[in-house]
Amino acid sequence: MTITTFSGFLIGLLFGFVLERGYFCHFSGFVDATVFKNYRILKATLWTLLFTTVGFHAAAAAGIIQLNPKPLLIVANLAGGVIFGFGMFLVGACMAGTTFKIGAGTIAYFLAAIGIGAGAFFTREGFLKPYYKNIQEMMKIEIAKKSPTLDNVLGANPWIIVIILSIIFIFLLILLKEKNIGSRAEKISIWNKIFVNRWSPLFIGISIAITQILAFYASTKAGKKYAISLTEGYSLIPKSLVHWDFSNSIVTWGYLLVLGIIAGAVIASLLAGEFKIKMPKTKHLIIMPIGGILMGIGAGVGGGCNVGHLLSGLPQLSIGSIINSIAIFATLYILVYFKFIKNKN
Amino acid sequence: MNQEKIQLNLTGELCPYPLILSLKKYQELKNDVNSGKKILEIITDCLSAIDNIPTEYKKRGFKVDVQKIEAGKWKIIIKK
Repeated sequence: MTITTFSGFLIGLLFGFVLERGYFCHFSGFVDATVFKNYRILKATLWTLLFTTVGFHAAAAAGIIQLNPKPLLIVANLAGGVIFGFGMFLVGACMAGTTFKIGAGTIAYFLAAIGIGAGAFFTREGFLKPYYKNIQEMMKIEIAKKSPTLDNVLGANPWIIVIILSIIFIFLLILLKEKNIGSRAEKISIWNKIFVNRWSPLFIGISIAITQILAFYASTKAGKKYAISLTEGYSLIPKSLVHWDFSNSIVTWGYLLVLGIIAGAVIASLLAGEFKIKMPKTKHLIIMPIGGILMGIGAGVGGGCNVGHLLSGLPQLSIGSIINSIAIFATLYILVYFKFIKNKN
Repeated sequence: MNQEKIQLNLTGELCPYPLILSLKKYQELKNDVNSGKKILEIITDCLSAIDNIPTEYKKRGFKVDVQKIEAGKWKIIIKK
């Protein structure tokens, strides 16, 4: 293993730490926002997208990274997003959420992760591989042999799109501005602010964006050339165990990234005094692996999860990532609506 | 006034169920909790819950106190 590959673990540590401190999960955040009008994680997501979109383009302009937007595979993006959305609903966490919540000691999410690994492995390396390859080729659209992005489809300067998106994100953040309920004026030490208290949406956004730019730079050195995405690691970890092969072609930057996220979350939750091994309830023994398998298949088919597509793909203006993200959250909305919103008191 | 404490143990429940189940209990006890006759105490080890339960009940006009029982486990006290 080279130091460039190992940097995946270090970036994972940092990302896992940030995720746990922010308690940043797109399932929790989605339910909080749609059912309870609690916009903490939605705001953190908007800050993240704002800083990452600007950051990626600035870093690309400075020659630090080279953008590498995901392809537009209309059928795969839609099908993958819908399957992933179903899985996320059953597990009750997104891909990032599942990973860092393992680090905080909840065994139920480890069961989900086993499902994700199995689903991603079957799709990318196992018996579903022929179908996955076929679906990926259906309605695959390229523009001058490049992945379609908002800027190359519209024939616009990417910075114009970046500025328009930034204005939209800022507008939404202003719209969601709310009174700080029950905030106390007491002085909080820097240590407590970073290691004990939950982070503010703004601080989460800045931290994830910085982690993303570092990830893009480091993964390029390691030959992956993408920001944070978890699907590769989730499909390779089972592969290494099945074949008992830990060579460089399997233990990649993305493989170590996933392990790093878990380790980072362990450290964060221990420092905060939140770490506790929590045994699953009986219902979790069934629902978590099933939901996980769907998440793994969905991410495998669609070419990424909510992190690879929304947090890393949208900032690169990839249309495939935007369509996949919409499919994930539209599916989730329908399920959350019937389960939690329709009969809400 | 002697306030009766109603304890709801949601240990092991994961996001979003601690908040959902606490609201179900609250609906049952609504009148007594709203009048201050009863206090709702929720035991949880879900880290989403220690954020979204206080936010939700503060929005409904309650005083919320989050006490750590041990590492990774909290008692959330909800009263008028």
